[in-house]
Amino acid sequence: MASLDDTPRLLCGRPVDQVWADLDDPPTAHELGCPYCQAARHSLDNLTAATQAMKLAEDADPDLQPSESLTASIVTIARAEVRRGRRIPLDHHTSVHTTTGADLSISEQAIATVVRDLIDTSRYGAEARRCRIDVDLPNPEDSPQRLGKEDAAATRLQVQLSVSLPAGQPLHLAANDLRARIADGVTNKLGLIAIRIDIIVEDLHDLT
Amino acid sequence: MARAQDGDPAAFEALVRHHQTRLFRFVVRMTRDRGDAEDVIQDTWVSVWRRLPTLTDRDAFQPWLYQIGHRQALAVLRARSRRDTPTPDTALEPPTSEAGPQQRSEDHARQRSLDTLVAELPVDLRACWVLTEVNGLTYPETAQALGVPVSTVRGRIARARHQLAEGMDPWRP
Repeated sequence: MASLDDTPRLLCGRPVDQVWADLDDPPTAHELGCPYCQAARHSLDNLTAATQAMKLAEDADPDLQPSESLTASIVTIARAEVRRGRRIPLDHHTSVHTTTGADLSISEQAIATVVRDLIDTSRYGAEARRCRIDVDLPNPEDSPQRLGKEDAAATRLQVQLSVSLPAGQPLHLAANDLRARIADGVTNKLGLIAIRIDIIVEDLHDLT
Repeated sequence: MARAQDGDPAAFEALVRHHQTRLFRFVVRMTRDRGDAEDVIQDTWVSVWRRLPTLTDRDAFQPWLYQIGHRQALAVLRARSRRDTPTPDTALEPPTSEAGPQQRSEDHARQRSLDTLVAELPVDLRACWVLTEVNGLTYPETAQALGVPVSTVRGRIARARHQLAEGMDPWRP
């Protein structure tokens, strides 16, 4: 209440913000007969016009555009501080580092980037959003004979991806197609196996 | 937004480019100094990048961004006040228009007058007025950005309008 009491009032008692709120409407009977309200309407009209002119001038004023070098430096800092997430071994039989110190791992962020790119370039016009990668520990029942020699060694992943899909498509077909695309892409591009892929359709969008 | 929250730098860059101009103008109007404004903008975005994963409501991004930018700008103003440095006189220079010389000169003078009046508003009124009237935030968004109740925003805007309208009266047609 205290803040409302701070609202400036005209000599006729009306709060200034009420005059402002009614500015787009024709003057009321009170306003037609009140010199204070009429003066306030003219003042506020004048301020509105000046504010609009100021906004237009800002758009055209090069001094009020942030420099490209400022934006570039912000992006450079962000890239230097990329949250890469955990290191995930490429082969579940080995640790992240070999005895010789060679790095045989990939960051969670790098895998997520590959997954998102696979979705963004799909024929569905889907948009990838958040992507979570988890390592699936080997199941002793999955013998090398069952998985195939190469698959048995590759690290197995669980992928959870939220997406926005174009409206008007059968969602289950699109989701199945995207799952297959991720499964193939992760294997072909990274040599990993996505054994579980959860697609969460978070939103629908119109194709432009 | 979700991808930037996930740590995708390309998505973060798109976010920066989308909001940069409006944020920059707000901060310039708060600090009245382009150099200080650039420092504030950089610190604001670095802070946003580091804290983005903690933002739970994506629809609240814009007020959250301005909240961080506003706090950084206030820190600059406080530091300037401690150093007793005079506020730079950077009334924004209006660009030239297609109008004739006399009209152009009058438009120029009118705009300088409004710029000066805005710059002379107390900081809390200026932040409210610029966020709503220039940057187009709603009252609740402005309240969120400034950490005050909506009723306070309403009161500050009324006082800012009153002050600016009075100051612009000599320019009434």
